[in-house]
Order: sequence, then structure tokens, then C-alpha cells
Amino acid sequence: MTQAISSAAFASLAGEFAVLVVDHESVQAESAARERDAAREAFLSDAQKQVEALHDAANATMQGALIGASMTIAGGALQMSAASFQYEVSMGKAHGDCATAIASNQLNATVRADLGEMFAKLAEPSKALVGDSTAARFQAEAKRHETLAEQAKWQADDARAALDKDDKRGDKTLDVLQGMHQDDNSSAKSIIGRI
Amino acid sequence: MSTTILDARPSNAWASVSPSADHATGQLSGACALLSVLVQANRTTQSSAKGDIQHGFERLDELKKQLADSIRQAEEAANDSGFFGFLGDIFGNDIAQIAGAVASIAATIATGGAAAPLLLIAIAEALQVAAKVGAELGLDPKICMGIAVVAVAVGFCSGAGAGQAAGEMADVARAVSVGAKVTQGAATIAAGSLHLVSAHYQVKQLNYQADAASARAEDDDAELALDDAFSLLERALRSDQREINTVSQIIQGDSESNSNLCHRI
Repeated sequence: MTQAISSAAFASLAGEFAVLVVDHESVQAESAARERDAAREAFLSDAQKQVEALHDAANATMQGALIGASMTIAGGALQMSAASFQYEVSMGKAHGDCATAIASNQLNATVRADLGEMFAKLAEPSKALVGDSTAARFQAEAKRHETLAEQAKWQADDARAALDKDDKRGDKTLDVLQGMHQDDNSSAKSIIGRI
Repeated sequence: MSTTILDARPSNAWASVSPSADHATGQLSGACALLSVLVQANRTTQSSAKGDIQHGFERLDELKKQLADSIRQAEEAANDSGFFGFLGDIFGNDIAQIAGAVASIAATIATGGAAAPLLLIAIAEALQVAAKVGAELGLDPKICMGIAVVAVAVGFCSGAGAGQAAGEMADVARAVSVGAKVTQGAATIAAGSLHLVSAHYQVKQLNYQADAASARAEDDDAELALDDAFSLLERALRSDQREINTVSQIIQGDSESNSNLCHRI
């Protein structure tokens, strides 16, 4: 009899303890769920930033290419124009034209040839300065956000693992509680049997 | 699935209940009501999780297609960019440089051609002087004679006809030089345009890469959501089973206690 009462008291105390453990587990699970949601949001946010950075890099590349191509085309056009003036100079000299006209044509040819050469030589550095370096910066930023997104994904995975662990721990506690309840029932039966 | 659990589990518990015990029946009703509420709540969770899983799989399929499309388009754009870049390099580096070299040679010929008669006269005079001085210095008379003959021949070549021919050659060289310079400029323009087209495809490639990154992120997110839905379903099924077991055991235990009490009485 004494044994049975003692067992019931133990079961009650243990039950309260089990309830406390389950409560604690549920609080922990809630915290893990919140952490997982936050990590998932961070992952999505960083992925979005990575995509934006890649688009920015594409835009910068296009700007650089436009500037480089414009300067190259302008350089080519000026070189062609300079060749035309140079031809006028040569023909003028051959035909004995007016010296002023020849000098004017020569000046035009020289200026255009120099400008053409300058544009052609500046095209590549301008493209690199405006486009390539900016694009590289944006790509580096995209890479950084990709890494952060990957970290956030790991955090989300960890939080989910913690959630599963808490869940399993809660199950174990409930199993223990169930076992105690069964013991309690057995004790009650034995008491009734002894009566 | 939950219907099967409902059909299987409580029937065992109810089979052990003594129909004569009123108190036990009351407890059974309460337990059954609790079981019903819990199972209904679990069933809602399960159906919601199953819907999420189905939706997640459809979304994953769609995103995988998007990802594959983006990667394929990025590869195509990269190929196009490489092709136009290669053409641009040929125009900008090879053709323009060759045209520039041709222009320089033609310009040299044109310049040299104008001075050709004067140059020939100077060479003839030099050879005549060489023949005379060579004889005075004791050079072989045959050699000196040969030099003198060459000097006379060069003198003949530096006549008016040769000057005219050289002038015509200079004109041709001048035209070639201009043509080559125009070709050089046109090749430079073509190279610039082709590099712009190449850059356009490069930009397309980067944008498709961004689309691929976006699709990949959405794919990862969908997988996370799918994992959550699976976890939810697993939890719901487990708790369903546990609730049914617990209630069944409670009912069984109570009914056994009541039966024992009845037998003792």
C-alpha cells in the first residue's frame, strides 16, 4: 500500500517535471522556428541583393562597352577623314595648288589623325575605367551576397535540425510520461487487486 | 491515412470497454470527444502539409525548368559574345594593322617615287666619280671601266621617261596609301561595332546569370519550404498516432480498473 502511494506521488511529481520539460522543449522549438524563419528571410534578401548586383554589373559592362565602342568608332572615322585630307594635300602638291589650301588640308589631316589616334588609344582604358572596373566591383558584391545567402541557408538548415531535435526530445519526454502513466495504472490495478 | 488510423486504433480500445459501467462510458465519451478534436486538428494540419508538399513539388519543377533555360541562354549568349569578340579582334588587330602597314609602305613609295629621277642622277654622278678616282688610285682598269659603263646606263635611266614613270608610280602609291588608310579606319569602326555587339551579348549573358541565380535561390527556398512541409506532416502523423495511442491506453486502463472494481464488488 505504502509502496503504491509512494509510486503515485513519484508519478505525479515526475509528471509535473515532464510537463515542465515539454513546455521548455516547446519554447525552444518556437525559438528555433523563429530563428529558421529569420535565416530564411536573410537568405532570400541576400539572394535578391546578389541578383541586383549581377544586373548592376551587366549595366556597368554595357556602359563601358558603349563608351569604348563610341571612342573606337570616332577614332576610325577621324582616321578616315584624316586620310581623305592627306590625299587632298598630296594631290594639291602634285598639281601645284595654292599653298594656303595645302597647308589648311595638312592641318586638318594632322589634327584629325592625332585626334583619331587619341580616341583609338583612349577607348580601351575608358572602357576599363567606366565599365570593367565598376562591373568587377558589382560582381564582387554579388559574390559577397552569395556567400551571405549560403551562410543564411546553413543557419536555416541548422535551425531546422534543432527544431527536429527538440521535437524528438519532446517525443521522448512524452514517451516517459506515457510510461509513467502506465505504471500508475498498473499500481492502481494492483491496489484494487489487493483490496 | 488518418481514417485508417481512426478505424484501427480506437476500435481496440472500445472493444475492451465494459458496457455496463456508466462512469466508464462517461469517461469514454470525454476521451472520444478529445480524440475526435485532436484527430480533426491533426487531419487539417496533414491536409495542409500535403497541399504544401504538392505545391512545393510543382514549384520545384517549374523553377528547375527556369534554371535550365537561364543556364542554356547564358551559354548561348556567351558563345555569341565570344564569336563577335573574335570577329572584332580580327578587324581591330589584324585587318586594321595590315591596312596600316600597307598605307605606310605606299606612303614611302609615293614619297620616294617623286624623288626617283634626282636619286638616279646622283647615283650616276657618284659612279662616274668612283670610276675616275678608282683609276687614279690604281684600281683594276677593267673594274673602273665596268663602273663607268654602269654610270652611263644609270644616266640614261634618269631621263625624262623615267621621271614620268616614277611620277605615275607615286600617284598610284598615293592612292593605295589613301585606300589603305580608309580601310584601316573602316576596319577600326567595324571592330568597335563588333565589340559593341559582343558586349551586348556579354550583358545578356550576365543578365541570364542573374536570372539563373534568382531561380537557384527560389529553388533553394522552395526546397526549404518543402522540407518544412515534410517535417510538419511527419510531426502531425506522429502526434496523431501518439494521441490515439494515449487515449486508447487511457480508455483501456480505465475500463480495466472498472472491470476489476466490478469483479471485486
